[in-house]
Amino acid sequence: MATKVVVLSDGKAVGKALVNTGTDPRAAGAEALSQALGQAGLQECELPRIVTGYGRVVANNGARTITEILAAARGAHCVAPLADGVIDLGGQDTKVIKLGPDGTVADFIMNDKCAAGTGRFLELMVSALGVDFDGLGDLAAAAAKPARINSTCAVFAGSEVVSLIARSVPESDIAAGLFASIASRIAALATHVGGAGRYAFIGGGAKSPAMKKALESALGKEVIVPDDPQFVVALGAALSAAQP
Amino acid sequence: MMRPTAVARWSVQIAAFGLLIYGGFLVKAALGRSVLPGVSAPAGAYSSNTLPQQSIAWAPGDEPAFNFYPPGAACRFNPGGGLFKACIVHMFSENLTWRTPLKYLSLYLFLFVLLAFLFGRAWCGWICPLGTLGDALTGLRRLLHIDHADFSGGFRKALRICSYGILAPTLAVSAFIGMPAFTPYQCYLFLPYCQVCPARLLCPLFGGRTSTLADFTNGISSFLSIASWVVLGLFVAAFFLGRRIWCHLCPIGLVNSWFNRGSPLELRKDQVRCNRCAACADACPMGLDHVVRKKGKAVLNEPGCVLCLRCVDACPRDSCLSVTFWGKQLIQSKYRETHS
Amino acid sequence: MAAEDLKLRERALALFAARDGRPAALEYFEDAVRSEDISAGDGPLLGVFCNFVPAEVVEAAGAVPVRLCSGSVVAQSVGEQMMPRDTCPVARATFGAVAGGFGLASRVRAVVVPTSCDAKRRLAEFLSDYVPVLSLSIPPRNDYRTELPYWVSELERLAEGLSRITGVTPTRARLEAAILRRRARQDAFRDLGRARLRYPHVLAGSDLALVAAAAFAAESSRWAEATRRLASEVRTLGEARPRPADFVPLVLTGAPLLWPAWKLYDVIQSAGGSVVADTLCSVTQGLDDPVQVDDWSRAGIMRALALRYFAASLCPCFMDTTALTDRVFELVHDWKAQGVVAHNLRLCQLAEMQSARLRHILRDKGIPFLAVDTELGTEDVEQVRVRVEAFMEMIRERPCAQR
Repeated sequence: MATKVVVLSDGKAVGKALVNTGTDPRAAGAEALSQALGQAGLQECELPRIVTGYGRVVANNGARTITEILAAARGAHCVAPLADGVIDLGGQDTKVIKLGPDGTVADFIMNDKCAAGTGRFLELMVSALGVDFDGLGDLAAAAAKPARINSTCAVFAGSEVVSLIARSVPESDIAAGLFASIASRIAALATHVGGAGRYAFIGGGAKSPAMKKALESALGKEVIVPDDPQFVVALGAALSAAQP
Repeated sequence: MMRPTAVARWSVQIAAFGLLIYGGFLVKAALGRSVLPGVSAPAGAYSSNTLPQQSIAWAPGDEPAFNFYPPGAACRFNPGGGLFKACIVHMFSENLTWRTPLKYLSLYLFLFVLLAFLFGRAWCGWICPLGTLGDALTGLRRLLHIDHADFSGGFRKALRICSYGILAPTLAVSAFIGMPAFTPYQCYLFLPYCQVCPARLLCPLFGGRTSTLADFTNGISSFLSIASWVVLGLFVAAFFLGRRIWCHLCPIGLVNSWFNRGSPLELRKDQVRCNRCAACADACPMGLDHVVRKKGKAVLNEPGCVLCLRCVDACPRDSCLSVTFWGKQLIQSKYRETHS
Repeated sequence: MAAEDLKLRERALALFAARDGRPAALEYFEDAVRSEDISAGDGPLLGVFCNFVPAEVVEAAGAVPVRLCSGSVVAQSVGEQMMPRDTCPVARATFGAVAGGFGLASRVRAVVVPTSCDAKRRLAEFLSDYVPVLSLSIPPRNDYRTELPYWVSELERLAEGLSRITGVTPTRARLEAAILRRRARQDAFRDLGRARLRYPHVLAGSDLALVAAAAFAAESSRWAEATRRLASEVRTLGEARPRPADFVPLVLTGAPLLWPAWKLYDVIQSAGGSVVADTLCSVTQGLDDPVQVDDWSRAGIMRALALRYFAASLCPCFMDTTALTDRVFELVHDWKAQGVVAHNLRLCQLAEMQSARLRHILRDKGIPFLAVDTELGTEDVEQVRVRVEAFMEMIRERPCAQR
């Protein structure tokens, strides 16, 4: 889990920082904030701030809070104004947001109870294949034909991967199948909120080109990955802090 | 603790009963004569005024006060000749037999159609004296906590077909009975339906007249007497046990029913507010369930509906059912508190 | 365990009581829920479930109906000792309450279980080890044309079964008396509803749920009087207090929120929303519909009871849920609600499938909709909170004309 901070000046991001949350969200938040401010060359007491994410309840220190859904929508609309849908693939949860005109939230749906379709799913799988996260993407890129992973549960999918390896299915095909599995879960979520024409793909999971490709294939729509996708939610919170 | 529409309807029913049964008598007592000139039989034509007294018991000189045939089933057998000429089936029968020229009839036909158009079959539910007597029988049954009989939709449809089977022969017989070939039978088959209608036995009783009750002078008259007793028996049984099942058979009701759809008196439903509790269907004395069953239609006028409004009273959902006249709302369903 | 169950309920009461400007008349309902002093002087207590068992038949048979559907996590953990974990939370909790002897569940002479869903059907057998169980068969179609004779025969069977337990026969006269007595409850609840429609900001959704919870644990006529008092206090307070500008009225639908598992009310109210109307069997559906008797013969009374308790039911256990979606529209319109929240109890297929349907229907109408999947416990309160808060943000951002 990571805590991210974005510092804005005149609407432009002048400082960004990412710190592992660990067991102390307050300390992680303070650390990330001071790093980001350091980058920006600014003093802490001057700035209005908003805290978002699961830690917003315990670690806000009296600051205003918004949900990460609203923050994701605002951030995505800023960096990808042509998108009318947002997919946030985080380590713990996945959100799909349908945007209305002007980038407002029209509808949203979250999956934060089940690992399938989240970054956690990939984390569980990398150990089965003996690679790291980036290696998984490289493997998938080389796939000839993505293997079908049928299990919806991450735990059972792990067993399924082991049996696929035993049947000598190429590892690249398995890797591609894993990305396809996540993408199909996300596409299923997306239908519940109504299809968008174009999706902005943010969060830690968006850093993977293989994931982007699998999503485009599963959704059948264009998927835009903005720069620094992990910071888009924090950017959205910062933009909201700039408004009264 | 009576519901407001029930109070209104009973009031109108009792007033109409008094007016229709005794109205003619009162008007003539006041004025000494009928108010409007009647359509009389063409010279030499067969007329009920020359009939033997026993068969139709029309006292000479008895004329209705107004020459008009409202849909409310005012009967020709009312004491004192009645307030109005008679019911619409009587009108068709009498004037078909007399071959009355249309120009004499057109005003009364027009008045009938106008009233029927405006109020549809509400006449059956609010004005018809037989209905009022029948509702009193229903009231007796309810007092005794006896459940009413249920009839299937198929049975009701069959009754409606029988109703056509009463009206059509009535009109056919009326059309032919005036011809010379049928002279021996005229006194028995003039106004064929009126011969067996329960009103012929019941209405004169309110004037203390019992002469219509039986006529055994010959075979045909005996048959008709027995037939009218059977019909009366069915009438009493039907109304005591079956709420308004009789009205599905009545030919006057049949004619009125043609005017329900398209009438400006409308029963409307806001479908979204319905919770499908079917209290309306349970309450309907005609045994109809279109109010709960029909979807997607705002106006619920059905030929069988006598607009008694028991469904509107029974509905526990505010503003679900309403009655409008020319678009103006008269009443709507409302949750009503009871006092235990 | 019983003590823990009581503590759970006390905490819940305290949580909702701590609200500024709460009508004083609510104290009666708190006491009723706390003490559960439904008088057994009128006859033995009879446990019932759902809203399918006619209270009037139970009373006419000389018993006092008490609803046993439990939302207690303490009871649920007791129930899980016998029942598998992945089953309906209400079934687990209710079984646990009976087996563990918590509250009213320990005082019932017998129970009547409607066969409305799989969980209830299986629950009946589990309960039969602890109390005598009568079943009430609920056919899957609630079309009165085909099912009414069967419903009436089931009610007659129930009446007979009850009379064997209590020794009192539900005669026509006793049924009539029970209907008229019980009618006072609907009258009072509708009066409160009218007061709330006029002044929706005075009573919180959790307050109304408290009133409903008390209805099933308190003596009937005292409850009705207290509800009338509350209605008049709502009117008085409503006139004195203007509606806040940031008032966000919401309609709540889905699975019941059973006392004391009211986390969703807490989260919604903390996020600034107000539940003004609902289709829940735990609140409005248990109290709003009257028994409309057309004919006071015995058969007529049984028909009226069958129609109110079966035909008018909005439960998604039936094949046709059009009446339920229509009710959601009606409530959104009448209360000017700005959104609909569906409470899905995990593992209730009926609620979850209905919610999925409702989502698409409401989306086509442009009505904001949120489905909250949750259980009886509070472990997932933050997950619920982020959804509810995001939903509130979404509603507040809508242009005023759309709301």
